[in-house]
Amino acid sequence: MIDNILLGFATLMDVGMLSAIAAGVIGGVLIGMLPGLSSTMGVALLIPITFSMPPQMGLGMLGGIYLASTYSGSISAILLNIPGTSAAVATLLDGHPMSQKGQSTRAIALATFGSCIGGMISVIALLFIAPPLAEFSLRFGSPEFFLLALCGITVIASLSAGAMEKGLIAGALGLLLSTIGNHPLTGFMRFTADIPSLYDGIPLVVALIGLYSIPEVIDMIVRDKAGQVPMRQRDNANPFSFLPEIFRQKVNILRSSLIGVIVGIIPGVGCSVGGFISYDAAKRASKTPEKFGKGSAEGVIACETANNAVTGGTLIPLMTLGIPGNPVTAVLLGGLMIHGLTPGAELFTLNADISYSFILSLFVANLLFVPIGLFVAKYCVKVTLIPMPILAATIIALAVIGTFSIRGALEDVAIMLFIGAIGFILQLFGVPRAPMVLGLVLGTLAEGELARSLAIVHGDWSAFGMQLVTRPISLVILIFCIFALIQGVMQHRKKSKLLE
Amino acid sequence: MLRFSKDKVFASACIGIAAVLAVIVFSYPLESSYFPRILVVFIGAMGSLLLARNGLQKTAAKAAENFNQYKVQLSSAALVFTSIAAYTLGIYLVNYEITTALFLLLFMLALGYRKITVMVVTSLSLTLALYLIFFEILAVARPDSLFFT
Repeated sequence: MIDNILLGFATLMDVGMLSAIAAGVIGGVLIGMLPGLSSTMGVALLIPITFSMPPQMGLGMLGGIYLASTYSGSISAILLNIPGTSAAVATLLDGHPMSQKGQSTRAIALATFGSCIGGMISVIALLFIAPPLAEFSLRFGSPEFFLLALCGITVIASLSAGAMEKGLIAGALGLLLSTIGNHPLTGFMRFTADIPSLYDGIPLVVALIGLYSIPEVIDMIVRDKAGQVPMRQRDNANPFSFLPEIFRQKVNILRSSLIGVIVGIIPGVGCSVGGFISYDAAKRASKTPEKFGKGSAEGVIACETANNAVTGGTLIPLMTLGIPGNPVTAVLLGGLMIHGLTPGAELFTLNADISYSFILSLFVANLLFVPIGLFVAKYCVKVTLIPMPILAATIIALAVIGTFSIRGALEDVAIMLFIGAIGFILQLFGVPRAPMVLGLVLGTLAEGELARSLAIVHGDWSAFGMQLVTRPISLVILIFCIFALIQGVMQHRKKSKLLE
Repeated sequence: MLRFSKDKVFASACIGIAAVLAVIVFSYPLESSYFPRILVVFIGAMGSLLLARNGLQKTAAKAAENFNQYKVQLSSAALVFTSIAAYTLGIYLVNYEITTALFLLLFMLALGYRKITVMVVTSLSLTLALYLIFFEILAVARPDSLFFT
């Protein structure tokens, strides 16, 4: 492992690599700050740009966007009372009240330092937990991989907002879309309507761009018509003068980081939940709980440390088992696959140079967003005042050229529009899109492994069913799936009662 | 339309789509369609479950309030979809650079932006930036157009 870490460090000592990470961090800070632009959309839109880069460089850039956008959502939450990303929702509770008291620089500084430390701790966890877990995945056979793919979708569908059936339908729709094209074993064409562009299936990045950029542009236009105009509050203190305050919050930071990493490892829970759990824990442990909600620095630190600690946590099941913890990592999984990398043991053995340089690039990204967040973002916050028409037009132009660049085919824009229409319809009916993304990403794996499992038992379904319950690992995954469904039902019932 | 009635529409649509897809997928050879068959049945079943569950719950009447919101959403969607279709057709017929600059300008105009100088500068600089990133730095082949290649 030490050799691989050193190898990863060697890859980082390259100006191109460092520039890619820095570009990712700057892009991520801007994307995260802009309300309406999600981390998922940012990563999806920028995957085509990483195409021609070496895998480690492309992944370093995508990792930078993921970490920086998760952090920078707090900037608009603090200054404008609008969370740039869903991860920063909990930060609103105390971040904006601090800004209203004229302490916006202090709030941003504490959020930045907290995010950096939380992110670093989660990367350390990723570095040490992921390789042994990936080695364990070598014991998996086709039935286990099939169940694992279904498990990821079940978990994220059952924990998504809205009725659980809707999440499961979205997951199944994603899986169904992934079956377009030829069958993995027989080569028989399905749902292609004799359109050559569909023979190889729907290109993943095209689908991701359509699913995340079009509905969000529509949403931006709708919100603009509703007349949501942000207000800004600023002060001019030196952000580094608040560094000692962070060190006085050692326990809070450690607790929040731990919560964040654990929440991140559990698929489907996400950064915002990590922030809220940690906020609640900090309030319970605080000597001054009455200050929470009125501009408490402890609250801001707890949320921001935890939501960035989630990022490394979500990458643990992603890189070892191929289970994305949230929509951004689902898109990142697409990014890994596009660069020819498969999650699991192979990623930490055959492709160790790429995986370790990716993990270590996350360290660099965590360090880089401190200066960028504190200085660049202070001025770049003006970006949040970019008129919506300019932003919407830019996103569409980028989506169209990004889609075209994947296979050099304008017909792919039609596919992107088709998937965008599905995304819009899902949004209209309050159906979560994350399960659909997971279905699209994991569909090929699920169908391929199902076909292989059935081929092993000569197409005998009862023998296949017996395999699922008699193999210890598949039984554990199956139980976990059922547990996730029951937990989802209970959670939805609790929410319904609260709504009533 | 409130949440429940919206769910009913969605559930009914799912059942309808599942039925149509079932006709298609069950016409494929069995060994090549296990997975889509399971999925189609699953979507239909989930749609039925959602419909049954919502049929048992009360539907409040606040339709008028949300109707305007749907109108805005649908008109915005129509604008976005037709703009992208026209933009792509423009790239296919005319050429990438001219169409992109024109699209950016007209789309901002369609969204109610009226600062002409900002619009022109943004359109031209963004077209140039996208051209440099994709066609020069990333060496993506430019789209073929019927005229002005």
